[in-house]
Amino acid sequence: MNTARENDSRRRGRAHGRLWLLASLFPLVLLAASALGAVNIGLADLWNLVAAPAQVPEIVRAVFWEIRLPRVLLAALVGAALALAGAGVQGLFRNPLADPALIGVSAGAALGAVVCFFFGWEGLLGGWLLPLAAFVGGWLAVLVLGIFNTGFAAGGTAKLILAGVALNAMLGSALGFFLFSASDDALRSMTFWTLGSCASAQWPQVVVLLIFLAIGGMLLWRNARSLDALQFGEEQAAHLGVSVVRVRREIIVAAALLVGAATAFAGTIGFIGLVAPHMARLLLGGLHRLVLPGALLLGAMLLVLADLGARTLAAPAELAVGILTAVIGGPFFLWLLRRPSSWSA
Amino acid sequence: MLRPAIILSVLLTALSARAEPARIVTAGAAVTEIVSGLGLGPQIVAVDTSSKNLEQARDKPDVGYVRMLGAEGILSQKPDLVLVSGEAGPPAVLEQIKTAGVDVVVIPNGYSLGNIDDKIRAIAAAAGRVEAGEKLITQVEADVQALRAATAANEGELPGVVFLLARHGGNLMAAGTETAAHAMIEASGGRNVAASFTGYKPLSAEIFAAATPDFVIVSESVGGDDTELLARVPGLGATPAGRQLRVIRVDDAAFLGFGPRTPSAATQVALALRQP
Repeated sequence: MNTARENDSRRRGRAHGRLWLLASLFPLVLLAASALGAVNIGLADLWNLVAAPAQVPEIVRAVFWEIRLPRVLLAALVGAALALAGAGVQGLFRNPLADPALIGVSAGAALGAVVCFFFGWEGLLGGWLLPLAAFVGGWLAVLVLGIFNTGFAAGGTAKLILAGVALNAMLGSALGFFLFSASDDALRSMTFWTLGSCASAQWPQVVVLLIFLAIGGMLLWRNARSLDALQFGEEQAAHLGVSVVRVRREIIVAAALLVGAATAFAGTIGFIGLVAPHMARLLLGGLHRLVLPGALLLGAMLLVLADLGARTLAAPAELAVGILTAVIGGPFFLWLLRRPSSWSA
Repeated sequence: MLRPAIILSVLLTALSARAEPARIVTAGAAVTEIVSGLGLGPQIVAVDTSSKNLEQARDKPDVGYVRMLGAEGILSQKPDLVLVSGEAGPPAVLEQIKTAGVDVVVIPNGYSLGNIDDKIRAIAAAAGRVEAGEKLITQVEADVQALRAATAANEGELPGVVFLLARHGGNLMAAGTETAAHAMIEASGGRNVAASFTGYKPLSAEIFAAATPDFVIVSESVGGDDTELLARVPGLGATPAGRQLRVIRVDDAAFLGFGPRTPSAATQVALALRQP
């Protein structure tokens, strides 16, 4: 009994150590991604950009402040938002294959964007109508899910998943209809939007996404203990004093905010929402106070690295970031899975 | 106090617009062709993927697909002028390049032969080669006259034509209205039998229910001989009319690009359509 408790606290100590390791890797990844790119900047110039801007050529200054830095930060925020949403949804559904896409946000956002391209509205409101339409689309999808599931109250989680499957299928048909009817020009724009990209990053988007990440992250954080309790089953969690209905509603709202905002600015990017939370669990154990920050860091680093590949591997051309998330994250995930682990929860 | 500054800046803009650029990045095959046609080929430092098929651009660095350009990739080529066709994007990337202080000029697309002259004029103005531009326009106009002569002989009912586009996976798509191919079929003196829909649609037998085409136009990059190709067209190969069907192969960059080579590519098709 005593040794079990000691083991437990040793495990927790090791998990905290690993979380700190991830947290200290994160700025290094950001630094490397800011230094590397098609336009050569290098570490010396990177220092001068802050310390002695006058010594840096003007073009390098413009590239760094207006193009590269917002892009690196947007990639980090999008990756963090997708991974956090994934961690919340997987915890809620107690299903390792659960993905934020399950609640219809991604398909709803895609439909919003595709409608925008269909009518040629993507340039309106100074380019802000497209992210707005995507966000509203994702949000509407989740609201519809809520109505059909009588406010998430009576049905229970299993019904919620089934309603999500039906909703996704309907949104898929609507998407197919617009793709089929679209002009050749709009069709190509839609295709590239659905591949995902951080290339259009600008400072205002970074700020907006940061706000959404803060709100969504806080909603998830305050439900972290309840999510832990939910892992024993909904009835047990209710006995432990968790209001299952409220937790469910808050997690879904948080996931919709996070995925909606991330998708609005970067298009649909798969894999991270599904796999980053698993990586966090394999490294840190099952407690959500560790999984949530771990998933945030891992998701951010994954997408920053994938985007680094997207803008450098084929330079001066761009690759689609969606191709690279799995290429970079997949082998790491498989290695984690294969490793004999003390956490198989 | 402000007025002299404004006049100065306007003057400077006018001067800089007329100054010849030393390093040009182009995106869009027709834009690249026109820039080379103006004698500025050596000044092109990088092109998009669609321009890579052109003889003049084969050895230039590739800045990627025209709709998926990257700001840093283009800026790393140190251009002083970026000339892109209307479909280039994403829009935010073009804005980022402007923010870095490089001129970006978007050349609008249009599916008409008159659009070629507009493109040449816009590019010549942006690159400070107005005279060379007028010379190129004269050549294009001569080619358009030759095309008119070739189509004028078509009397009576116009021959039915369908343009097939091969998409990945070997699927054939027919060109409906609002496509470059539709405009070019009409310019070449044909009648598009797939005019009941817009855009490129998967081929179905119903397209030929109303009218059977006499000719099929495909890109020369589509593999297989004519019989193989016709066998892939549902509801057509089996009919007697299908056996009469002739296949015309075109260089799609020239035929669909609405660039300097487009009128003569149309003339070749027009002559092929006249064969009984």
